[in-house]
Amino acid sequence: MVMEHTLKERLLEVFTQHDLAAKSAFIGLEGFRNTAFETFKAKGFPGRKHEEYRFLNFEPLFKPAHEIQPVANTLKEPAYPEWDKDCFRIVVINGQLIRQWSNLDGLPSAITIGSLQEALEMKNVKALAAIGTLASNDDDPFVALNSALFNQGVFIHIPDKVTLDKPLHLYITNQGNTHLFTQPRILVIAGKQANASLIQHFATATLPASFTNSLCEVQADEDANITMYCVQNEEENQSLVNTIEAHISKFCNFKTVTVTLGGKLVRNNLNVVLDSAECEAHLYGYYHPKNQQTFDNHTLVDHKFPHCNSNELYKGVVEEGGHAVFNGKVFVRKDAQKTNAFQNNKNILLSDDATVNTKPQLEIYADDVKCSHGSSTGYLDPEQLFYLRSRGISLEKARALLLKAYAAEVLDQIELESLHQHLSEQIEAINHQV
Amino acid sequence: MLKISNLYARVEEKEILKGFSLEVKAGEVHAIMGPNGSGKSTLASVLAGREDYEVTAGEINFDGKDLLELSPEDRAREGVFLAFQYPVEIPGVSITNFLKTALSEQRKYKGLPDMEPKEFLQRMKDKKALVEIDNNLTSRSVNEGFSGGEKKRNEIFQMAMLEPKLAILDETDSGLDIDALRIVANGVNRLKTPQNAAIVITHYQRLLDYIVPDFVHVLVDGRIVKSGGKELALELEEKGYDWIRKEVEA
Ligand SMILES: Nc1ncnc2c1ncn2[C@@H]1O[C@H](COP(=O)(O)OP(=O)(O)OP(=O)(O)O)[C@@H](O)[C@H]1O
Ligand SMILES: [Mg+2]
Repeated sequence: MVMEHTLKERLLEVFTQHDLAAKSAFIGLEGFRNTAFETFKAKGFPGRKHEEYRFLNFEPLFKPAHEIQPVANTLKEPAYPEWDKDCFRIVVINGQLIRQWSNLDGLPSAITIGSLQEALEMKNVKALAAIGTLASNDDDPFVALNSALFNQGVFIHIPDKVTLDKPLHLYITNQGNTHLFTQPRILVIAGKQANASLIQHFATATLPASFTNSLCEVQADEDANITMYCVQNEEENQSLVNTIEAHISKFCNFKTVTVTLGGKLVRNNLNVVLDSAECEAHLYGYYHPKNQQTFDNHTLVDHKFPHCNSNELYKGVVEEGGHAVFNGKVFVRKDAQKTNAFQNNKNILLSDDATVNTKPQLEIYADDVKCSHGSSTGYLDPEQLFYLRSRGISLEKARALLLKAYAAEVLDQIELESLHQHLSEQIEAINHQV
Repeated sequence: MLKISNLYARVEEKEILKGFSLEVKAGEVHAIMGPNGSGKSTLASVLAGREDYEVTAGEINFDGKDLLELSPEDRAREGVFLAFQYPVEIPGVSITNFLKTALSEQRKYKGLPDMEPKEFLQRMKDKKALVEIDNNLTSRSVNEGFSGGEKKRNEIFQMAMLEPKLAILDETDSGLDIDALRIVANGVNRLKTPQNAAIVITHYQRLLDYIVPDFVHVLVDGRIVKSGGKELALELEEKGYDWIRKEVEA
């Protein structure tokens, strides 16, 4: 493949020219970067033959040359949404933490939020111990590439028994005058009985078509309670691969809500490893692709130990020309007896020219478990539409009412009221344009 | 108010209404009875504007307007209300929001502004009392998980809220216990004015003890084969439909 050849060559050039491995040497990351890059070189970008990426076509996206380690000199402070006022905030532009626009006033002093690279340089024990042990380079070329090329990144540490009393808004964006290829990286370590909710917010606007390869790793220790909202609201020419890899321990409660409303090609890899007995994970998603947009959610819930629960609900609305992919893997391994694992994916097609590929994959190796999965794809129910219309409600309003109710099941999982309201209104506005 | 002339309607290539005619004037209550499958619900659906039904001949005039030209929502806005035989469940849409939207859309059509929230709540309260419907029920999603009887009662509640000119009740009595039947019938009677009218579809004479019809029509095989006063219902209850069929054939 021509593109792969040239892009790979350019990546290689960047990797050697910038001497990233050597620069990382003093923090002991040289080997880590080199191995990651070798892995990426061996695998290359996933093409159509790659089982996990077979519905995605990256080739046309990388036709124009991309700047790979962009350092923008004239950055502009982004405009934040209404709900930002209820949050702490950090701003990540082109993968780098921009301190002057962060808002950490009143942050409990025990909590560390800073540059990942600096944390590693300062030999932060937690960061050093965790880096490279969560997401695996071998499983996914995008992870390998992020490990090889990430620049600075973000490190968040919430120590034992500490509560982050407001959600942390991670505003992730790109800025520049050319096509960018950026590698934001976030490492979150939540100690025993730590509580936190994080909002990963992708919001790149008005920029030549660019590509973000984001990686967020979460390690949750015993009895930690972590909620992650993932709000994807990029312009229609921006593409994103967002990998979240979470490893959770005993008594942990881990919840994610992923809402994808913008972007050209958006791929979410959400991998949750239930790494101990008696923990639980809840995964929710909502997506609405239209007109040449592809939104792809790949989730993996890995039950390794007994007495764990997982529950997953992804719902989508696919408009004319839109393409949605859902692939939900649930592994229940041999020792994971007494597992409860439920998964459901629902899709509403708003046009004959809308595409959905949905594939639940339950692999169960234990015998004393309760597991189920379901998926449905269909049009809005004509009986419901007729009922509403027979009371004087216009077809357009009837549709909007049904779509709003449909989305609510996922949105109601968002506990931050202002974010909930913002997304509900945004979705309502989109539905009124249908 | 309503004049149906020589109506033919089909669904999926099957002719169901075959020359149906009926005139309903303001202030009247008409009962339609007839064997299963004779086309009663089809008539109700055609009046409400369900799109699966194709009208191949005939006319429906409603207060001077050609009803068949109107969308389902415009028919409702003109004052047609159908209490469904099988009301559909709409999870996630609250009854309050549903009725607020319906009222607002109907008022907009008539050039009226939205109701004041206070006025709306008062109307909800009054109408709830009228059909003796529980607050528990109206705080839920439309018909979701409602029992058969609760769904029927909710239909009458909606009718009370929307105050239609012409109400078509499709077997609203089936599935109701004796008390609920009395309450629902009572509600219908109290909503009756000289300006509005009702078409009551039922299998049982019992309902007509409460909602006393001015006319009873018997629908067999897609058209009215016999009409009479309320005593016709009693006769049907006694003798079944066979004697009418025989009478028609003769
Ligand atoms: N959507 C449809 N597709 C095919 N056949 C239909 C459809 N709707 C109605 N029918 C048929 O049309 C005929 C009349 O049905 P309709 O529901 O109007 O009868 P009804 O008089 O209301 O009966 P019941 O007393 O059982 O409620 C029946 O034979 C029914 O099976
Ligand atoms: Mg019927």
